[in-house]
Amino acid sequence: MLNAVSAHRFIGFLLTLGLLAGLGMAWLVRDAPLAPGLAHGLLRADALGALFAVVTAGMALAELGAGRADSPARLLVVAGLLAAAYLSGHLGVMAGLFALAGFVRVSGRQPAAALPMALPLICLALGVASMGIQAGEWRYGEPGAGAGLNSGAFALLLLAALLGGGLLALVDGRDVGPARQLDPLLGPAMLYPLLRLDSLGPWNLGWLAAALLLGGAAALWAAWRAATDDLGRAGVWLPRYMIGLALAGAGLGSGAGLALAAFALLSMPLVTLGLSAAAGRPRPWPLWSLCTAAPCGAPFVLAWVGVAAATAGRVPALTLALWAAALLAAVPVARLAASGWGEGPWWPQDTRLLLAAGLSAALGMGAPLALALLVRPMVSQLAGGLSPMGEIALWPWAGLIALDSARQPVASLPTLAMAGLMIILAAIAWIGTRLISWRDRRDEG
Amino acid sequence: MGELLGALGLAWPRLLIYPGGMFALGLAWLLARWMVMGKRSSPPAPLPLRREREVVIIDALPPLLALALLPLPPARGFPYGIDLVAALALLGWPRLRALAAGSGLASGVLPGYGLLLLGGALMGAGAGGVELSRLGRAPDTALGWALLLGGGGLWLAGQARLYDGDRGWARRLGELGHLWVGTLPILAALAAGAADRLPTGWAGWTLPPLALIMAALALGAALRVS
Repeated sequence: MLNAVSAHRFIGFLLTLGLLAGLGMAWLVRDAPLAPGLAHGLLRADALGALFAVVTAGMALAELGAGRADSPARLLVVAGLLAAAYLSGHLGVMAGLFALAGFVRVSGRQPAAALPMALPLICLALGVASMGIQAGEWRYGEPGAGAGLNSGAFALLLLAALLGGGLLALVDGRDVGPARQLDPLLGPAMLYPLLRLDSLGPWNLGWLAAALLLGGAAALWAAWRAATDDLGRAGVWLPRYMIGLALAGAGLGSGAGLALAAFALLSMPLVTLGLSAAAGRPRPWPLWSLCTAAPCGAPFVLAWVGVAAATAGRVPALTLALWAAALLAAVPVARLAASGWGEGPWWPQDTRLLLAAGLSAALGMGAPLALALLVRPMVSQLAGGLSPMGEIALWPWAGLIALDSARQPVASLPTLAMAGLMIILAAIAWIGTRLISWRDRRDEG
Repeated sequence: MGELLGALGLAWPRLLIYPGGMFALGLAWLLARWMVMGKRSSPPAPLPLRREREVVIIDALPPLLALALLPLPPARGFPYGIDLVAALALLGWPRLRALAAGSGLASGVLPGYGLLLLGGALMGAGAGGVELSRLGRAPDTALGWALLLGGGGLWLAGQARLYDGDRGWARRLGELGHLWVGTLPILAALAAGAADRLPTGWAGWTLPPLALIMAALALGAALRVS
């Protein structure tokens, strides 16, 4: 019989295996989706599903690491059901698995608390049913599935993403109550059905504008709340800021927009884990790596991709909004990272905080690798539903570059070149400080 | 890989001499004097923290990196240029550290950053992209020129609004970098106007200082007004 600590570790181990399996799946489907002939198209693995599998496993691990999961076994079951949904090529089965995951999440709660939490799933089920019935084809990989795209279904899936993302909390700045809460697993996962629409066909301009406006406004608003609320509540608003960014990315409807959504989702587990681990620590300086304004971490790359995608899409208002949101989102993390200066020892640090900061730096510096493994395959597999208004491309051995519809560079982030130059500069500065110290000692002597 | 290492190896004049390195340190000192004169009405605020030398140097490295990567003639070309987003993050690093050490969003910070971002977005819209190398090139249309120059003006106004006194070497380097970014549209205009009038090779030596002086005068005026 496993005791609680061992069970906790075992579930953590299984979730880590799930995360690695998601990365492995991303590698396997990088050229084309895997759709085995068995089960009549029920199984289908593609890069979008692989990305969400990685994000879901990451969020589950972050929740486990933060110690917020009241029942780790339930967390594992929900993550497993969502992973199965991502592997389903049948929209009805996908919605059913989402509903089952939601049921596991809300089971044991009072109906008054369960219903608001189930509302996004009801919207999802209605939207998917509307598409499937209209098209007469439920397998999204089949050619006839696109005939089911309709404005009602889109509105329901967008509403599901907004409600699931806890964006109602932005209205009055309170996150109490089941309707306003952001479920760490289902919240980001509700973006999957919305992004899956790109598999069915291009969105019309009204849909793009709705997602873009709502996403951009949500990102800016959540960042404003994060900058002006109590420091301890940054962890409430920053995930919503990232969901807003992902929605805005979906609304851009381009490869660059999808890259924005992907980096927003990938950054979310790191920020969640880092902020929860830093809470109450005397001097959490590793949080600088999770600050949007520090040009070495994943949140900065996310902010850059947002501004670059909006610039490439020729939407200057969104460029301004996402840039401002990025700077506002930097404020609480920077203040937390600078807190306790000179009061406590700088070492030792919380292992979970170091892990989150290290992974953030790795994702920031290794953004080209993440782009190649997780984003580019997704963009190429969903190309039928995307516009050519912008793409985030690899800049070989340098970093990332954003291209507009004419394939001209509009923004550039040479992460590797900047890191190389920074190392050289730091070495020069180190030699300079040694020389100054040596001179000071000689003068004193 | 070899190309990157080669470029890094050839970048030492940028890091040590111009536009970063010794030139940046000297110019940052001069600019700090000029800005203190412009802001004479309010005494310089004290440093928020008494910090050790190593920390000040760490704060100064990001602005120095941004300065070294500026697309300024006659510096040797560097193939991996940055854009406004990266430049603002690198140049604003010392200010962010000071802000983080404070108790919250100080008054003047939001309007200042609002002007900076609006200026940056307008320059990006005018130039067709936010790469720094684009900001120093002539746009194709009159609207592009208006957006680029107007954005540059707003950028300098935002810098003046954010200025709160001489706060050490890291902040001085950041101020210099902000000024250079606001100078790029002026440099584009001068280059477009004087391209055919100057002897070959002179533009690279004469136009950047001229544009910088013009931008510094504009910044001084904005400091007086703000």
